[in-house]
Amino acid sequence: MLESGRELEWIVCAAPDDPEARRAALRELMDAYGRDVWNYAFSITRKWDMADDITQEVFLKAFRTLHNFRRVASVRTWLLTITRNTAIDFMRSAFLRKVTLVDRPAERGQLRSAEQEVIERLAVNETWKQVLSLPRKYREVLILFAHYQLSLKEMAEVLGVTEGTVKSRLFHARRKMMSLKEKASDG
Amino acid sequence: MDDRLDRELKEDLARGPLVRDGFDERLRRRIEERLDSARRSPRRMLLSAAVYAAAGMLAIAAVWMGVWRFAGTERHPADELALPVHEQAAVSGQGYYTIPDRQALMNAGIRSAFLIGLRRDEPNPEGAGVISEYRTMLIAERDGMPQVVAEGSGILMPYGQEFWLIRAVRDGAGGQRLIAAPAEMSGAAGGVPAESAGGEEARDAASGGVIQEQLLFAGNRYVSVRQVTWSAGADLSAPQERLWVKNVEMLVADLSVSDGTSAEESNVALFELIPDEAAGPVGEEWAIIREPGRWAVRYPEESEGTEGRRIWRALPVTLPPAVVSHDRLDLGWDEIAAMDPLARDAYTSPAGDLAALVRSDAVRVVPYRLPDAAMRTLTVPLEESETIVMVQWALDQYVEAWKRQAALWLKPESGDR
Repeated sequence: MLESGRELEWIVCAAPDDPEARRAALRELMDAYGRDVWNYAFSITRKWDMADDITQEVFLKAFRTLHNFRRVASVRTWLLTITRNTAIDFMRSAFLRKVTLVDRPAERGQLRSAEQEVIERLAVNETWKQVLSLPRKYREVLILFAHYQLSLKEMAEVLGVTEGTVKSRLFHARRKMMSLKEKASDG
Repeated sequence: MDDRLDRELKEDLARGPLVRDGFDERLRRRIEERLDSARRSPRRMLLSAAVYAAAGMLAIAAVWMGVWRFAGTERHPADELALPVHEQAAVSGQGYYTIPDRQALMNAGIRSAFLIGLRRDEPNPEGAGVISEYRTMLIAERDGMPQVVAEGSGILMPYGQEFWLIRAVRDGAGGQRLIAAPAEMSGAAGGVPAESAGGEEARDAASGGVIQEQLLFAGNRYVSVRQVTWSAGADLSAPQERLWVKNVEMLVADLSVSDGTSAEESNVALFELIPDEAAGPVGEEWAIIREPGRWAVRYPEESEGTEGRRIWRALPVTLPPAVVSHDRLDLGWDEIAAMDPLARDAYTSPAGDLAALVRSDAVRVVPYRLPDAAMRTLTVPLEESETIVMVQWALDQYVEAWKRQAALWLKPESGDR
C-alpha cells in the first residue's frame, strides 16, 4: 500500500527506464487507489461504463506521467485531480453529448436512464442516493469532504478553485442535503 | 447543526457509493491489456487534427513516389476455415493483441476484415408495428484501403466453421419472422427463403395472431431477438413484447411452433451463459443491445408506477467470449472524437488496425495506425433508421476465406416486396 508518494517516487526513480518497475508502480497504484478513482469517476458522471473508461484513462495517464509526480501532492490527491479532469473531458466530448441507446428498447421510451437504474439498485444507502442526486458541483465537494475526507486545501487543489469557493460550495451543499433529508423524513 | 450533519455525512458516505465494487478484476485486466497494447503500438498519431492531416499529406507524397508497397493477400490455403476470431486465436495459437512493432505495423497494411450486419426498420405497410430489412457487408482491404468487397441482403453470420444466413420473412398478414439456416442451404429446399417470400407455412402460422421479430444482435452462435405479438382478436394497440437470446439454430424454420410465449419459445437464459451472475432476470427473457462501445445486457422487470409496463433494466456484466468474441475498444473516446467528432459508437479490430466509427448517417472505416489513415478511410452511408446488429472480425489468412464465402452467399435481394 502506498501511504505516501515516497514509495511511488522510489519505485519510479529507482529505475525510470525500466518498464517493469513502472508497471509495478502502476499495479501498486491500482491496488491502493483503484476504488478511489472509480468511485470518484462514478460520483462525477453517475455512469458505470463511463467510470470504467475514465478509470482506465486515469491509470494510463498516471503511467505515462509517473516521472512527473512530485511529493507536492499526495498520491491520492494527484490521482483524484487526474480523475476529475479526465471525467470533465469525457463529459465535454462531442461523442458523449451524442450518446444514446441505439436499439429498440430505448426507442420505446420505457427505459429509465441506465444511471438511474444503477443508482437505484446498487446505492449503498439513502444518503448516497441523495448526494448523487445533487448538482455536480455540490455532490463533488460533499464527496471529497465526507467520503475522501480531504482537507480544504486538498479539495481546492482537486477542484481547481480557491479554498473560499470550497467553503461556499460546502455551505450550499449542506443546506441542500438538509433539505433533502427533511423531505425524506416528511415522507 | 453543521457538525451533526457532517458527522452523519462522514458515517453514511464512508463506504463507496455502490454495493458493488466498480473497480474489479475485469477492469484491472482491461487496463493492463490496454497498457500492453499501447506499449506495443506506435505513439498515437491522432493527438491533433493538424498532426493527422500532416501525416496524410506526407503519405500522399510517399504513395506518389512509389514508396508504399502493399503486400496484398497472396495466400490461398485450401484448408482455410471461416472461424470466428476467438476460434482463430485458439487454432493459430497467436493472441489477438500481438501487435508488431511500429515499422512492421506501418508496412503491414491492413490485416483485418469484418462482416457488418445492419437492420433498417420502417412502418409496416400491412398494419401495426414495423418491418425490418437486413443487409450484410464484408469490409476488407483492397488496393491498400478498406473497401466493401461483398454486400447482400440478410445477415451472414460466421458460425463455427461455416456461415449461416438469417433472413426476415414476411407472412403477408403483417407479421415478420426471423429464419436461419446454413448459408450453403440458402438455395435449397428447406433453406432460407427470400426476405419477402412469406409462403403458405408462414401464413398459416400467422393465422393465430401477428408476430413481428427484429434482430438486435448476432454474434458467434447467439442472436438477440425482439418479438412483438398481437394476439388474434386482441386490441392492436396493445401488443406483447418479448426479448429473447437464442442459439442461431433455434431460428431454423419452424414457424408452427412459436407463438411468442416462454413455454414454447426456445431460448437461452442468461444464467446459462453467465452462471455466476446473481443479479438479473427472474425469467428467461433478456436482450443483448448495443450501447456505445460495447454490447450490453438488459432484462425486463415489472415496476411500480409504470401501469404494468415493464422496465428494461441494465445489468452491468461482461458478456462471455462465447457470445461476443471481441468487444474491446483499442481507442479511447478522446481519440475517437478526434478522428470523428460525429461518431456515437465505435468498434476496433482485435489486431488493432481498423476502426469502424459509427455516425447516425454513416460508418467510417479507418485504418487508424497507418500514417495516411485519413486518405484510406472508407465511408459507408447508412440509411435512415439503420442500426448495426453484428460486427464480426477475421484476421490474416482467414480474410481471403471470408471473401470467397461472402462472395458466394451475399447477394442482392431478389423477389418483389
